[in-house]
Amino acid sequence: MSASEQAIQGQEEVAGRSLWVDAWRTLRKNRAAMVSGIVIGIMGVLVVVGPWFSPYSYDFTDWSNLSIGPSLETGHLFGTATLGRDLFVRTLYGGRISLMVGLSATLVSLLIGISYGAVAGYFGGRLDNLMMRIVDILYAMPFMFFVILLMVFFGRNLFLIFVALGAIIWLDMARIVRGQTLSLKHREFVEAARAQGVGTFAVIRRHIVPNLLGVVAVYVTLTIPQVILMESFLSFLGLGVQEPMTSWGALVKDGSDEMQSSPWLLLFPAVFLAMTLFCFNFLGDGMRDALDPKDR
Amino acid sequence: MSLLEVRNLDVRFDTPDGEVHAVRNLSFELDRGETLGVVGESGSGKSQTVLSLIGLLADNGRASGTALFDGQDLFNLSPGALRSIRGRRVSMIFQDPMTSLNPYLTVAEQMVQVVREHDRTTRRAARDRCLEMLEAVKIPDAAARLDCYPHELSGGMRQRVMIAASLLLDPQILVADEPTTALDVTVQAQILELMKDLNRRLGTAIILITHDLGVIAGLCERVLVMHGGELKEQGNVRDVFYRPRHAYTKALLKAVPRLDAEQLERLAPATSEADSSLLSVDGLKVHFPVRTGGWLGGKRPLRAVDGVNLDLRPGETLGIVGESGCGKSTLARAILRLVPTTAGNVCLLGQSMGDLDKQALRQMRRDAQVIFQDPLASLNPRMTVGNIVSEPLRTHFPELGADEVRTRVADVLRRVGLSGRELNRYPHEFSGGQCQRIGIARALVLKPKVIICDEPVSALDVSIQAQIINLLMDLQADFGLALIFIAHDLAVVRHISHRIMVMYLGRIMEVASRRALYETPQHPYTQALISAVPIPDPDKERERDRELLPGDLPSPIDPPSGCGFRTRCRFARERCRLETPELRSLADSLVACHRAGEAALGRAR
Repeated sequence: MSASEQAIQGQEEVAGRSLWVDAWRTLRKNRAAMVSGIVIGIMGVLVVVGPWFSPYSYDFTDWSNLSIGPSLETGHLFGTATLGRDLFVRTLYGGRISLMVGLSATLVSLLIGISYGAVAGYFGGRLDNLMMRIVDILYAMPFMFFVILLMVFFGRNLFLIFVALGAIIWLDMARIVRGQTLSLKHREFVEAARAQGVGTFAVIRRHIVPNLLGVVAVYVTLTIPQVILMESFLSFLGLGVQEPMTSWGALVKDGSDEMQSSPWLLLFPAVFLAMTLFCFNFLGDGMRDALDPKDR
Repeated sequence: MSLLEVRNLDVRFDTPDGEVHAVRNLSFELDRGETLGVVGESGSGKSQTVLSLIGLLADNGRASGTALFDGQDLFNLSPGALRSIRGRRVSMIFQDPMTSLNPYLTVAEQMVQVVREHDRTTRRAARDRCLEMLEAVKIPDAAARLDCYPHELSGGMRQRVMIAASLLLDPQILVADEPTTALDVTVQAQILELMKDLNRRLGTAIILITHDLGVIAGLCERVLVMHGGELKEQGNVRDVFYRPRHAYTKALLKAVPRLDAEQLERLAPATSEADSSLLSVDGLKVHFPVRTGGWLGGKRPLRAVDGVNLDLRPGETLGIVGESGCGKSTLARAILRLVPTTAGNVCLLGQSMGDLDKQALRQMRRDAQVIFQDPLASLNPRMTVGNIVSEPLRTHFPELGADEVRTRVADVLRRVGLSGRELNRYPHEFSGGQCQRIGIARALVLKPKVIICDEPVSALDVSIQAQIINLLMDLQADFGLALIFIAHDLAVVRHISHRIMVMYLGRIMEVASRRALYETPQHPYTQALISAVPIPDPDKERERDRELLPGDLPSPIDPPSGCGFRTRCRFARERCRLETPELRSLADSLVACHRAGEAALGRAR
């Protein structure tokens, strides 16, 4: 009787857990990653909600306060630019664009890049050849040319920037994932799963992809800054976000022009940008550690 | 005075989980020209002992005690002095000859480097010295090998190069850390013979670290037995083997599967439905196209499996033995349809697996499961044990509730000797033996009819090997499983198999019952294999008239014409070159050899 009771207790004690539950638990213990996550969260809320509480709109020109430093009296918390636009509200608006660009491009690269790369690598042979040559062709297309082409056909549009960045950024991910998959698919645990009759896509989902996450997490933390900077480059060329709309990249660029006369124009957007990128890095590192059971 | 005298050696490692005491209070001596064996399982501290002596411990390790080498205390020497001793007077060879040679340098380049590091000689003279040593280790065509890269050499040849390189400076002590573990039995026999010969000719003292008692029995004069960082027993090899005093030594000696064992403890008889074949393989061929001759070169077939027939009856164990590269693992994968077959047919339960569509194949896979060689690599590192073992259930019986799955998984874990509470832990938290138990649980959870074991114990310590083999035999008796047991180790196969099949270059050389195969081996290759296995018994091992198989396995891309084995066979005749021998019945065996049965072959044990 008591033995069976113990057995029952034993089973209650060991309710099954999954990698994700465990990863979340580990991540919560990682202070740097958690703080970073919270900061990113606050940043996200701030850029969405913040502008509603600002007395100025992003394109309003305050003729009485052209190019002033940060001050509470005028309500220009971060000061104004040469055109008298309020820097605080513009920084938040810029954050909306930059974060949106970064996250959407990353999402595209995660979804398309991982599935494309994993499928190509796992099936191999002719399919792999075909899929990778497509990637090569897309690689060979000059990025600028591609963007200009889109602009010519569809007109200038923020949405098109997302499309263009997404279309480029998943290529790297697909290549990295394919390479990893090639080495993973001959591992014995994959063979064991196949021998048990686990279906092809279940093998990819359960055995290949989770083992890619370490590399993927690292690569994503590199992607987000890269995309944000690419967007600001496009804006600089006049292909991206257009005045009076703005992004962090554009603000930093404008600020660096006025660095000597009004340093705050550079300082505030740069701090926001740097902080966000920092936090993404910490969070990515934390996620990589959390997803690797060996590191616990 | 002895050459090396170690007193109260302690080795500790600082790790994030606290201090690890790897070696405790170890004392031993080594005389000039002596051969000393150090035996122990992985983690017993045998390698750390030696590494600490020559100052090659990892950065977080510390050694204390005294180690007098020719009167000098090794622990008080300057790094420079230690380095010159390390290269010149004590040299070391490692387990894996592939990883310890630099793949980007030719043999000559790496060996010349060693000579010139310690001696100011000309490149020319150094090269001559290298050639001399390569000839000393009996590498055929040594002058040509000097300019080869490591990957162009076979495993046995690479180990010879390593030994040659370590002997370049005429050391007084040669430390060999598991020098033959990564090699096939026939090559192992060659290397051991070579070391014995070098010890005799050059008078180099040898410290041989190994987990294989058979290796020690043949080569060493004295033995240290280590366990958990402590010296359990030391003494003359005869005393240790015949009159072991420590309980651990006794257990270790008992755990070793032996070729010469008088009686097998237990082997459940195969169930007697002799005529109903559970699994039958007919004329199976697996050829992989390999590109040869560069970019424009054609493709040639690599004949991994080249026409294999076999039958497996319910409750029976069929052992498959052969050297690495003989196609035994490919055969296993082809039977399970993990690799595409080129020709031939596999029938499971009377149904041909070649005709099955995807859905039916998946159903069939319930009945045939597999256990792999590397226990850790065969478990997904990112899945919990619960998920790993329950995956087959969830795949084949998606209708089962979570509770039902958990109960079944816990049951099967308990059945393989785990506690059933490991559900939430990850594979890396377990030892090799435990991981293999998890792998067995995963194979067992669907209650299959056949389990194919692909070298399931090769990566495990001897005592763990015995546990896993006993577990497999228990499970076979309980569930009426049929097993195909693949190994390169004849002694292990003997312990578990009812029938044994010997493979060479993708073909069957001999099939026979266990008794017939070991007592009256008909094929010269079988005889050579049996003769190559070291027996953990110093007297028997030294008296044996060993038949050394020369050379290495030919490439399966370019196999010899006629009989595949003829290039290494002592009895080869013109006919063997022209005609491929078919399997024919001889005495109690099926043999593929033209000359088997002739008086000249006799028995070579």
